[in-house]
Amino acid sequence: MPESAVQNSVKSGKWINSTCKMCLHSCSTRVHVTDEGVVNKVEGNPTNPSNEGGLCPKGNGALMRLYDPQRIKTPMKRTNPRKGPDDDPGWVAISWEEALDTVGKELKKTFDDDPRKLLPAINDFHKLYLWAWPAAFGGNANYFSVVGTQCGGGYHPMNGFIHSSFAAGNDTEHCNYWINNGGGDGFSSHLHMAGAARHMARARVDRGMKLVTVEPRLSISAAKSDEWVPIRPATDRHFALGLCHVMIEENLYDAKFLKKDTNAVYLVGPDGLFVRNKDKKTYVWDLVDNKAKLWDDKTIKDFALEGEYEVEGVKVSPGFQLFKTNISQCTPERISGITTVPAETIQRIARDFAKAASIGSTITIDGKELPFRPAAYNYYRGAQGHKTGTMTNHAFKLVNFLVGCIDAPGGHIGFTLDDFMIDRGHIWEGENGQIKTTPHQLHPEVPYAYPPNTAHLMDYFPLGVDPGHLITQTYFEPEKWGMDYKPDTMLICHSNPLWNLNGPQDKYFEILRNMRFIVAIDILLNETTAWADIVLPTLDNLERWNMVMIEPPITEGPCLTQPAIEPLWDCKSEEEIFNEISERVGILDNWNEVQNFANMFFEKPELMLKPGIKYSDKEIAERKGKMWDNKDLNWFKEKGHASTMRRPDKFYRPWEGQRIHFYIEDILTRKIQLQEDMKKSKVPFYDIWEWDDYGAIPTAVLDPVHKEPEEFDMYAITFKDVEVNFGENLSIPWIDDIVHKNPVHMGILINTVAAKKRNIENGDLIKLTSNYGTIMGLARVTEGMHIETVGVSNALSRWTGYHAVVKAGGGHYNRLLPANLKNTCACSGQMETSAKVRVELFRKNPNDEDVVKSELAKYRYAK
Amino acid sequence: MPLRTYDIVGDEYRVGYRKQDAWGWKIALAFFFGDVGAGTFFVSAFYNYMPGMIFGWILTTFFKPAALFMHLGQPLRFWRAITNVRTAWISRGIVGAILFTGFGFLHMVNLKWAIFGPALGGIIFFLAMAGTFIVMIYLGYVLSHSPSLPLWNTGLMPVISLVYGLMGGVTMTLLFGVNSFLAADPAALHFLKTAELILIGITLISILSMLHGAAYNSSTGMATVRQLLFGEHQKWFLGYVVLVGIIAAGLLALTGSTAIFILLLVAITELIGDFGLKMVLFKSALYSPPLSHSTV
Amino acid sequence: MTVKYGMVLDLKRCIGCNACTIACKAENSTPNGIAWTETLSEEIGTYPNVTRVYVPTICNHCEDAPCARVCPTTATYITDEGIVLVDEDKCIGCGACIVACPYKKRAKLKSETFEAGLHKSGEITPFEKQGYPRFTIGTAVKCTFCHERVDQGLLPACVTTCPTEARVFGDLNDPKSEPRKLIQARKGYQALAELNTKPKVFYVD
Repeated sequence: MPESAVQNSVKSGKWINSTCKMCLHSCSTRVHVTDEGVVNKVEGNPTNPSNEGGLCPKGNGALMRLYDPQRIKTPMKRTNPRKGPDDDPGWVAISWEEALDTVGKELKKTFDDDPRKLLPAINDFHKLYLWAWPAAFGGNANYFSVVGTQCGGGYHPMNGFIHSSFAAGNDTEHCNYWINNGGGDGFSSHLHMAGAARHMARARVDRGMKLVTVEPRLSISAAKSDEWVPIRPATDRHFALGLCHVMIEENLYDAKFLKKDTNAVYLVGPDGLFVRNKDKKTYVWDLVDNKAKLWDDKTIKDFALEGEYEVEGVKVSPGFQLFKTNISQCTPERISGITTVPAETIQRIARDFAKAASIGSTITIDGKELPFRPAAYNYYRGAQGHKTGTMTNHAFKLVNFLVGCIDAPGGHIGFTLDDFMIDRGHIWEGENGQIKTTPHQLHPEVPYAYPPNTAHLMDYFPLGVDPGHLITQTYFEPEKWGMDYKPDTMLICHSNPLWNLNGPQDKYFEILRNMRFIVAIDILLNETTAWADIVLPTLDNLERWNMVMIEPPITEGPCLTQPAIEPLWDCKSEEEIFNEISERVGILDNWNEVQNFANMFFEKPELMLKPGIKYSDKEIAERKGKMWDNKDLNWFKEKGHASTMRRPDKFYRPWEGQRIHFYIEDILTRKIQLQEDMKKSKVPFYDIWEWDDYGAIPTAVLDPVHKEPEEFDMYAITFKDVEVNFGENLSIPWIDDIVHKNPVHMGILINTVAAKKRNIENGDLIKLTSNYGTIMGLARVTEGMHIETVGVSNALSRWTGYHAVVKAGGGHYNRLLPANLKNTCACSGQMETSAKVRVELFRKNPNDEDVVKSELAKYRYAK
Repeated sequence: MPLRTYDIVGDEYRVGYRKQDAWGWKIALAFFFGDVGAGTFFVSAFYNYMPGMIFGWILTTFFKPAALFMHLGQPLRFWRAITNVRTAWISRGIVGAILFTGFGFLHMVNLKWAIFGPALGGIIFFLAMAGTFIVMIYLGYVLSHSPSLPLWNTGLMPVISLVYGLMGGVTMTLLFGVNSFLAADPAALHFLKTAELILIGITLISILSMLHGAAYNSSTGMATVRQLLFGEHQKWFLGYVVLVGIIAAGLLALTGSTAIFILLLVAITELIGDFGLKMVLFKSALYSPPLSHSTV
Repeated sequence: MTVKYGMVLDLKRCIGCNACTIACKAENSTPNGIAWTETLSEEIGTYPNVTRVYVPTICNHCEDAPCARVCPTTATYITDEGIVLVDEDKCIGCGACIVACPYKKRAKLKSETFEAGLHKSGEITPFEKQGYPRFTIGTAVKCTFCHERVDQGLLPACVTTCPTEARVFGDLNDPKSEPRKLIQARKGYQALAELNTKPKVFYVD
């Protein structure tokens, strides 16, 4: 058989255990390499309890990225000084020595001048420690990118506040009523799709779990749901608050949980902070004895959740009451007007949800009795990505709080990003019986400074995720922001900032044009790296080493990536490249120190990186593996991963005995601190800073997108689906095939009625204009779109002419978005991701592909 | 608006009618040459009219395989095409063509030089005619042997195939023979001209019936017919097949004229209709949506 | 009793991701434009009461396969285990099988696609170089139910990769097999069953 086998997986060769990197996450794979050394099949690894041998379409296409004929094969230098989206860089191959020396020289120049002048965009999600490299570059905290902020600005800090974790989602193993609000979990994306989809299918089909999807588009999740609830974009928070209103009004919530396990009962004063005694201890109100008591008073008979009282001479209310007051106007009728969801639907879902939560019931898992709350509200990118990032994400959490399902079996659970060590834990004690909130999930807080040290004003986002788009403000009006330097160097590693950044593309073009030096590190050229001066080719995931655990929802433990073959081209690992650059800049020791910190090697000092040594990707992977449970690389090579089901004691209510934060006072205390700092420094933009975004409890304020001028009478959203990771894998022919034949990716989605009103038919070329930009595309008329909303797939978002397979789509959605303070959450850094647009027919049915291409080209760039 | 509708989809990942795209003009040409060649030989043979027989024989023996070779993916293996006479109509048709080529040649030789006796000559003649008959009719069986394309899956197909073959034969024989053997045989001339009109009439009714049957067979059939009458293939069908190939040919034939120019026009219009029909049958055929039943 | 291979496609589980499509292409090195399994979709209803169904399709390996019936060279044949295969040495590329298949799941190999390669640029990857030699230009190709994997006790590539376990493969002659149990429990049916090709791929809602 083996000699004459024609099917790739049974040809003579060997299987190598590794990890998939076709999206952010890390499903386990096995890679087949023939006797002739050709990688000819990638499959799921059946031993990982997450994906169990399954693999999504992206993972199946991994080897095509390895073998992409347009891989960067050698370091290259630009010879055409003109930089623009259509300019041919005039690449010339150079040696590594010349390349690294040039890069080292230029970066050293920047380092010696002012390290802040470097704009990094380092976005290899499988190697998060690389993102910390700028810290070694003189403490540089710049970030020329919004990867992570578009989907996770409000999301990650809030998970840190509530669960002390990076991510969160629903418990697939036990949930019976699952609400999916603007997230693709289990269907399209987010959190190990191949694994999540498997367990989601079992929950739906084998266990009969009910699924309700709330979002403007008939997504895969909506299609498989028992009910699709179309909703107007940027009103998801209101929907959630509407549910809360019903549950509170009709007394359907888990009062016991709120009283025992949360700080909803702590009394809040007029300034929004907890009232404290002289020892800084907080108060609650004992309903039975009708007096205030300290939170840990042993004689408390019953906690008040509502009411107004007086303590220490001030008027106080429990945090719960403040929430109830904030949403007193969120009746189903009013919420219906805001969201376009029928009032009856809001009521029905709230009641069904609360009923399914089985408040009061318990379940025994691993011999331990736990509260059983099999109803959970999940949400992600589309629902959370709004100007009111913090309070929007908080509102979604509160739906779960009300039914007591936070971190409970069947409920909404925090998922850690990377545990580093098997028993490290992720819950720390805070004060007054609460857990410590840990909003800094991505990197440590960037210290306050004025004049700003960062070009994106991160100095003023102590709780947020990098709002890289704010460089459009500081770069062009430096005096307004007190900038005392102008960035002039860029390092782009595994990133496509021009693609991911929201807002005025012409401004980003100008920033790039004004860079003295740009170095790019990648495996394929993209829209941004085509502007580089030097390109350094790095290894594909099938040629490199890594050890990665990245927010798995069902499992824990790191997964090994190992090379299947020797590098195809003259490429180096990212580690080697950063080592070489660091050495030339003179920061190698700093870099090793930063890695020790980023990878927590200091917890096991024998693993720490020593000064003066350049560590390879293999050595870093080996150390990360040993960090987990002292297993060496050979163990990992044989097993492929250390992935096991998440342990119940770590997964369910790991904070048992402490209180979690219903009312997030830390947000207000940090705001006050920031205000004091800014006042002291006499920061000139104090008065335009969006202070209202800081809140301990959500309100029902409308996001500013709803107040765009009336001529923009439709909403627009963007989306990706399971085939597409951001937009990067559109270079893979197999993916290209299934994407460009999929109706939802074939054009701008518009509802039949909305289309008819504008004389738009299937295949017509249409124009979308917002207050901030314009894009074009062929119309795709569908019933599966909210009547006021158009949908623009990521599949339409690329524009590079450099790749034989990537199609220029004309629909770079982010151009429609603003990049200003007004549309950024001051607390979380989250930018507004939905838009209001005017939709017009541009040209009827241009069947000629060349006609379409030339029109799209005109609107591809502002200039 | 209907809750569940189907459109004609290209290679889009959408449930709908999909177009037949494996058979195109090359194989249509092959069948066309075979049809016309066999028909001309068949009709001419009844009158021992050598020029017609030679013409038909050359068309089927050389032109048909030439067109077929252009269509086949592996033409050098063409000889394998006769190995499945047990179930495949293409095999049977090729066997028919071989019978026609071999015994047709022998018959023409016999006619010219009378080298076989009457018994053997009769058998040769019979086999040659059997071959031509098979060649004329087998396209219809090939098309209707599978339920895959509703337009093709009708009992009328062999009739249509045969009738076009005969029609081609009659018009070509008339054209070639009007000033030779038919000038001396007014009964034959009258018979052929009447046969021509009858055949055109049968063609018209068969095609109308084919449309009717397809339209009321399934939604796929209806979608196909709509393409022929109102959609993408309207020009070919209503124009070339009906207007030119049936109506014009019919009207010209009805004039009863035996002027060579008119007979030429009749032949040309009829042949255009013949090739046009094959082309439009191939191009317009639609596959049914794979699963119109699902309920989730 | 001999084995009779069949498959069940679970429409309740399928999410239309087309991992199966790519797994098959990766397994079989099929060139551009040829996919032996594909998942389609269909919108049903009017806004806001609208849903979408995902419909995986694959060669049904019919027991009374019209493709085998019409093949003039017997290149298309049915094995004892019910797998419909094409002997590429015998196929002359006439396309009769393509027009005979009611499910349009057969295709003819064209030289242009091999020359242009998957990247349509003429640059052929090592993957393609090791995979293309199995094909004979101009012949008909189709799903083989991964018989080389099945012979080794493995499942077809599309079945193994499906993230939602929506594809179930096994012996239809064994009432205890997974596909048989599923067909019985969830009332499996065939695509275009009335066309009487006796498909061995069943769907459950």
